[in-house]
Amino acid sequence: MTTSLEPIDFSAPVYGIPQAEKERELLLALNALTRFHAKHCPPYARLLSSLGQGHSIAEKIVDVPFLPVELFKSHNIASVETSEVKINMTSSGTTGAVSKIAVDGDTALLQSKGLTATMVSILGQARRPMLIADTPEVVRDPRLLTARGAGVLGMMRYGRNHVFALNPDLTANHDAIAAFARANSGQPSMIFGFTFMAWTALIDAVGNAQYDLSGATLVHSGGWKKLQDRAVSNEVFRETMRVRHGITDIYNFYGMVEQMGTLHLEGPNGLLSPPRFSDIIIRDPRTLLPVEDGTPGIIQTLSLIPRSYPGHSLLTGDLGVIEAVDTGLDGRMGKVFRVLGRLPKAELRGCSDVYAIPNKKAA
Amino acid sequence: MALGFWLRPAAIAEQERSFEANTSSKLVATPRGLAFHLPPTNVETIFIYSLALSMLCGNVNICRLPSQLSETTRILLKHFVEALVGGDVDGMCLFVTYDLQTNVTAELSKLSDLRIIWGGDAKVQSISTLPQKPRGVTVGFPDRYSYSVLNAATYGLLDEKARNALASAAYNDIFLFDQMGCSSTQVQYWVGKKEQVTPLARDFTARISIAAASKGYEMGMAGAATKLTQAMGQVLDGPVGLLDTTDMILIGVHHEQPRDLRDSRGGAGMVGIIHLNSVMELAELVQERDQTLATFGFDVETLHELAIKINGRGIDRMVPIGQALQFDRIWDGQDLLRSFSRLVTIS
Repeated sequence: MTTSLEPIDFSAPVYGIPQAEKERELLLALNALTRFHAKHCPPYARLLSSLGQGHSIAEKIVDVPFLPVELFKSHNIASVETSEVKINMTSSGTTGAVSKIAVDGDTALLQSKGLTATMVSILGQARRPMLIADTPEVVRDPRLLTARGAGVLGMMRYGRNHVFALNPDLTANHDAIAAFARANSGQPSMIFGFTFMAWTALIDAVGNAQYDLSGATLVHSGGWKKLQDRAVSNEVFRETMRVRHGITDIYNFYGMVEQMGTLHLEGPNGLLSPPRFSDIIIRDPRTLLPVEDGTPGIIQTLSLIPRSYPGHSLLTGDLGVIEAVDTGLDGRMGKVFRVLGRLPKAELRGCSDVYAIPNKKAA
Repeated sequence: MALGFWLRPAAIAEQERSFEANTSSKLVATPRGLAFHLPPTNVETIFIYSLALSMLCGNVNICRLPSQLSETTRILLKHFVEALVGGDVDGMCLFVTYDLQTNVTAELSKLSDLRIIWGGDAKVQSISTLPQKPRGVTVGFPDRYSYSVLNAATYGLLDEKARNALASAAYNDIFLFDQMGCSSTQVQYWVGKKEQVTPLARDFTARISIAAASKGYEMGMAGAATKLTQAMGQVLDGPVGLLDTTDMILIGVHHEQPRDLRDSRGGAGMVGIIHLNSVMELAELVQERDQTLATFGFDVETLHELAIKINGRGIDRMVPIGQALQFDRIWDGQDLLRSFSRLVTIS
């Protein structure tokens, strides 16, 4: 049982803690998680021991051992018995391979609490009427949840009177959107969708229609790749939403299925903040050593939430940069960062076509 | 650079001399006719070797290039073509490019007396099913796997300078072609006492990393994360004593016992380190796919004995460390000048 670990204090302010204090707090809990996973996941213990870190305790959070997130695509790594796994979450893979994440009841609960702590910071305690920028199909069968489906389902808890903006064939459900806009005119409501789906549902699919969604807080995630290909930046996204539907309260967030429940939410300056129970580190792509703040590199994410699998310290496939620390802007302390896109895939030459990997440049 | 050296006039004359030494007045080598070349999609310099050999044999050549050429290949082809213009073999080589979805490969195959396919098992097998001329032959270069073997005691006796020189040679075997060549070293077998091997192999890994850094080896952005993932995957799959990652240039994965790693290639700087008590134990581990064995610290008699013990089940070449990627006209177990020629006998 993963409940032998210390509870996480989700009642504490999500962003109000200075970096140094946060690192002290996280370090103890991260070390406990490393020990916990080493005890309950023998392959993970083997990994630590091969790295010469079998018994060591990290003295700084940069020394907490990390696993490349890709490892969860090639291997099933869990710290609980198969019988305890409540749900196997999968990432929405674009390249074929998908992550398989074993989540037990305890971790599922922490995911939900982590998400709540973060969402409450922007939505408040009361549930709001919710428009989902997706089709109802995406949450049809909870046992076959994709990352997109799990994201939508997880977020639906923070709303009520749910309305889906898209029909199953991805055309706009104009009647539903119009009814939602009418019913909530000038009142707090929320809209959630993956960034690309939010654009599809609220801009592409509606044609020239304009709806008054000025009371809505729009929360979206999933990356800019598809929209950048169409020259839609975060700024264009915000401006278009404002002009078309009067939406001004917009939050992008960065997160991944391998650390579900840990949302790095956009602040008023457009920069992302790791919540209190997590942090990020930027590493040099070539040496994997930590870089100075302000230097771009690979994003490593730390989170106290993963207990049923050793995912508390992950090297992601994304590039990012830490823009500032302890700004205090909008009450936000700690690191604030920006995601710069995907790490370009390895382009390796050779005399065998089998290893020919197309070179995908990060946008 | 190596290609230029290999193609210089003196080297070509030497090829000619050694080839003719094996023929006689009763054996005349003539061209096969039309040679159709299919280089790997991600063209690297390797296909120029087989193309040059085919030209030396007097064949007329058609070479399919991919629609997008790398800068290196473009420059190489430019020099190659310029060297041909006005010479004896001017007009003997046609470079073409076409959509692979069309039937051009099938049509050119029908006309070919000789077909040369680079690009791995799947490509060799699928193109080989297309008919050639009735007497046409195909020379395929399928997936291969290569490794090295070192004598730990001999390495232990080397001084600093000699160790660095060997590391510099091993750098070529590992890092050229980003370790993705058929002949690129993937595993180092260390022969000696088990307790000796780990420190010596670590010492060697560190020196190869330094050689790579000093030669300005540039790994792609995702290189370190990709090979770390691959290396950690190997740890999850089986007993590994040590993951030597130091600076991420060359990762040494110290396996506890011999293990088949043929389907887990890291690329761009990852070697398996495996201890053996005797070099003859290699004979048990060799498989059909294996091509090049780069060696250090074993005499010719020992390697001869090893070759006999392997008995053709794999390994086409044994070369000193540093020469794994040096192309030779005897490649993948056959004399290409012979394979690309039609031999006429007179008796």
